[in-house]
Amino acid sequence: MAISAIMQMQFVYILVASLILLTVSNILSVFSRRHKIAFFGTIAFLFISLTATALLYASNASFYFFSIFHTNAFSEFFFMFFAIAIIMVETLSYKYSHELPAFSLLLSLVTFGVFLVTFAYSLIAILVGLETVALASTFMIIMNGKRFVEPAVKLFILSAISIAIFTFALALLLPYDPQLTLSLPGTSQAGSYLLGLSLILFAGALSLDAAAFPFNLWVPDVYEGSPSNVTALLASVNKKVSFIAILEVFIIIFAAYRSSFGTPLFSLVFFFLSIFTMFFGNLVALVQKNLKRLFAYSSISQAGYIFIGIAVASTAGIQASIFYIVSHMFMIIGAFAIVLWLESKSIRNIDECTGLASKNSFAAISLTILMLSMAGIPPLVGFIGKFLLFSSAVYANDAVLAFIGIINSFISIYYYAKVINQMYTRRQGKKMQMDKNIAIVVIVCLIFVIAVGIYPQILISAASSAASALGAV
Amino acid sequence: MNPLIILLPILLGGILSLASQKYSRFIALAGSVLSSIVIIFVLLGSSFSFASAYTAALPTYSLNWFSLSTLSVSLYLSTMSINELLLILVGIISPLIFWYSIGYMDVPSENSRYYFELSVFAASMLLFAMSADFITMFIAWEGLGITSYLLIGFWYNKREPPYAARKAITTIIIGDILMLSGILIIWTSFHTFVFSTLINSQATQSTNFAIALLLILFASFTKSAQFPFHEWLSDAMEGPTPVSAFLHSSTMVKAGVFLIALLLPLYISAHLLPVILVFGIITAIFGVINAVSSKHIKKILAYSTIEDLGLMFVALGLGAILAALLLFIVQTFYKALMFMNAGSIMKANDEETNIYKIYSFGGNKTLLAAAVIGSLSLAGVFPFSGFLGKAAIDTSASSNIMVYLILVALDFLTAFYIFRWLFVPMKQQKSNPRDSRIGTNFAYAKKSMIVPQLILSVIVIGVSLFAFYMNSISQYITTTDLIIESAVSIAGVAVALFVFYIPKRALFSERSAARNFLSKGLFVNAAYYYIARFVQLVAHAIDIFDYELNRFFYSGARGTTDLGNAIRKTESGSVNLYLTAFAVGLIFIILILVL
Repeated sequence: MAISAIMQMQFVYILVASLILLTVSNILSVFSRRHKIAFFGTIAFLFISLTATALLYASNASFYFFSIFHTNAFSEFFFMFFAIAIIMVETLSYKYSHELPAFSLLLSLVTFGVFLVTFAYSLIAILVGLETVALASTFMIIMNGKRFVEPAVKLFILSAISIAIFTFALALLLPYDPQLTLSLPGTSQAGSYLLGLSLILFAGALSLDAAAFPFNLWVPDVYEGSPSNVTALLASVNKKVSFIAILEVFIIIFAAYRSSFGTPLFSLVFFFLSIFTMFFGNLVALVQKNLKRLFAYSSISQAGYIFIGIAVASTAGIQASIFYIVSHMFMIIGAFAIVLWLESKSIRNIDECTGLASKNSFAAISLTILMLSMAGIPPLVGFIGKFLLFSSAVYANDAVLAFIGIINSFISIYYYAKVINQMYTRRQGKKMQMDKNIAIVVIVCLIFVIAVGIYPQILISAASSAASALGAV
Repeated sequence: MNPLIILLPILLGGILSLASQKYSRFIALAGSVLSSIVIIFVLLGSSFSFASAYTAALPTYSLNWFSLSTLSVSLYLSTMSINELLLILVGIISPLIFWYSIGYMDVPSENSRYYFELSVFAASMLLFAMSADFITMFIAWEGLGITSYLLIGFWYNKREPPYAARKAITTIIIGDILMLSGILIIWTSFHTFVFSTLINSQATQSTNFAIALLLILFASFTKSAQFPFHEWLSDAMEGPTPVSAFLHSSTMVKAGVFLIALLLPLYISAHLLPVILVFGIITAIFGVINAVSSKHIKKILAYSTIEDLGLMFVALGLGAILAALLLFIVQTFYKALMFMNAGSIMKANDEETNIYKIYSFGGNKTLLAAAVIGSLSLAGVFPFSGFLGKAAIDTSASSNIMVYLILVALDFLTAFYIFRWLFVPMKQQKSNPRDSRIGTNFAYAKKSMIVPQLILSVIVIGVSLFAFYMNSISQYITTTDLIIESAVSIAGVAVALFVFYIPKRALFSERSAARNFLSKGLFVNAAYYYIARFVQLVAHAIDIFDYELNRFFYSGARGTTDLGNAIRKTESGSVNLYLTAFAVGLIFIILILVL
């Protein structure tokens, strides 16, 4: 089906209009204080934007618009999944947020930030997008009461620093490209210290958002301190958006900035970041007693896995990273959905999970499946993702990375199994009912984890077309 | 049409039957009937001819499963010739089994589990029937193994079934390992999983390939209960009777035969037929001897299944694939019929299984008629359908006089033991008033258990009538063999009649020296025991090593958690520290790039 450029442009207009309407409807619902309107309005407009993006994706659209954006398989692919993730977060928050209209408004700002980052053709757009996402989520945390000031301020300070460094790194790029477009700088780059410094600052700023070692220390505090629905957002959207920024900045701009051996320099940086992040996340997760902190550290270690693909810096590696970013998004939302529900039943620590299987078998089974997937057990999606990552490392002669990744998967099984063990330890208790909105989100995540695990070809080929749209390395 | 649709209704039925204990049986039955209807629609376009059933199954449908860099795995399905044959057989048998189960399963609290497992099994079997490459086949193969294990151990709170299930799964897993090794060898040497590509590649002369084929052959032996892996099948009779009728006689155990039949051209070119032949003969002899001596109503039938499977391998070993397939078809029906019949008798006798203690049939003439038709067919009496298969195999062996004589002897004994199975309970006098529960329930036999037997009886007769009507029998059976087979089987029936039915007192009582010796199962189980002991000794030696290794790993794990605790100290909650870490991180990155 050939769809004309005019039609494609109309899809873009629909997408942008739905985002604006999303914000407007939420502003109205904030004034009218109607939870239902906020909820259904948000879901409806997110679905419209999702559909518009899907249509763009289906018509192989690839062009520039509004001078600072461009749309291609990469941006459409990610925006679709982010829209799904945001819909799931909104569904989670339906009964769990006191101020749903305000929450939805902030969520629509997050959506807007995600739009800016994924469709960016300008570094400025990425900067503004990251800032929007971070600020909106800061407010989401703080609006829940005094107790939440501390994590919110931590998040605010750290993201402010990240933005500051990012801006500085951006400034260093100006001599090479005054437009700051997201493309390979034209002038010769070899041995340029200015560009090298810029690369270091970018790596620092974005690793702070993506929570790579040693920039990750704030993560567990913020994750634990925030309400779980916001944590789900932080772990799935905020963090993954910074991965998108990393992919865009490093794979496109710094692709040609190579060492004397001919490998891109950023690959060296991420090589070490990946190793340290994996080890840090997994080792500290071993000794955690709080469920939320456990998943916080686990998601740090998962960031390390994603870095493997970026460190490999081959098309297969990028494809594997993209695959893993999307699959981890679903795994972590599902996990935090269950944690959110457990918290409402005042279960916070691992040893309080005892006998969960007899209290609510659905929750126990789904948490088991999600954790097995994170640990990389076939036939779940986590296994396919890790397989892609490790095999891309092996093919790029980075067997060290694959080996360390495998060791880390090995370590991670220990702490996941600890939780699973607790859940199936027999202790009779009162049955616990799971709320419908949480159950729906968990089921969606489970279907994704199992179905894509069994039949991964669709996501693999989508990821590979996204990787090739990003540009060859 | 995508043949995978066939699996959809039955899988859906299985999953939905988990939702309701009460209606699970009807849901599952509906699923299996729908699947059979879908089979008809899928096969409607293709033309079926038995004579060309052995042609290599070309994949008619492929599904790209996943491709990871250089490794690309697709699932290939075929609905041609031989696949079509098995699809039809499973499509006929499975609704009948589900129907029969409605009457048989009278423990309502276990219904959901039962129908779920049975549906998953049927789906695996259908997938197996369609598979045209090793990957699809292996997925189905594993499905068969695990559901067989679950269904054998279905009554897990009784004493025997868990052990029987464990025995079965041990044998089956040995087979799985062999199969996987064979598949991997084939992949590394030939880079293809597809049957027809392998068969047409002509690259079959290498030693690797012969080894792979042998591994696959022995894997098939585990599933098809061939010597030395046959003992699990008789123990598998601990499962519910519909399961015995479905898995352990008519479908699952024939997976191995089916696979070897598919790959037979490869075995011919690798000169491995004598291996198949020898193991087939040994198994058939073991099966017959055990069947003659056993007194368990279902185990006699199980040993008879082992014998039939052995005969199929004999035919394959002789290169007579059509003779094997002929027995393959007819055996499905008469063996399912016999098992259903045995199930009815056991139900009426309070689950008593000793043929010297039960009373068969009472006044139930329908059940008796079905049993007689089944027995005549199993004995190979002309013109019942079992005759077709047995005589065809005799014909294929006619050039090899040794094999031929053995087969004739086996046919005689088959007729003898199956009529022993029929006559001994019929002769039983109701002497012991204590056994009032036994043998009284025939009047209440459920319709849902009787009607499938009637349908199968009609099929058993109908298949042979159809074959004679088509007048194609002469291609497979010579007149001499027809006469010899008829004479031998009738002689066997006659001897059984004179030994077990006509005399006032049975000639071979329950406890005779010969029976005692034979009932040991020819010491195969004892051999298993010694092998297990040997493995245990090795395991002990490994255990000592393992303990030390474990201590090593334990200290390693302790070290890891200690390390985790040490690192955790960096998490003080202080933002200042986090900012310091940020600065340190930047310096770290600079160092990476500079050094």
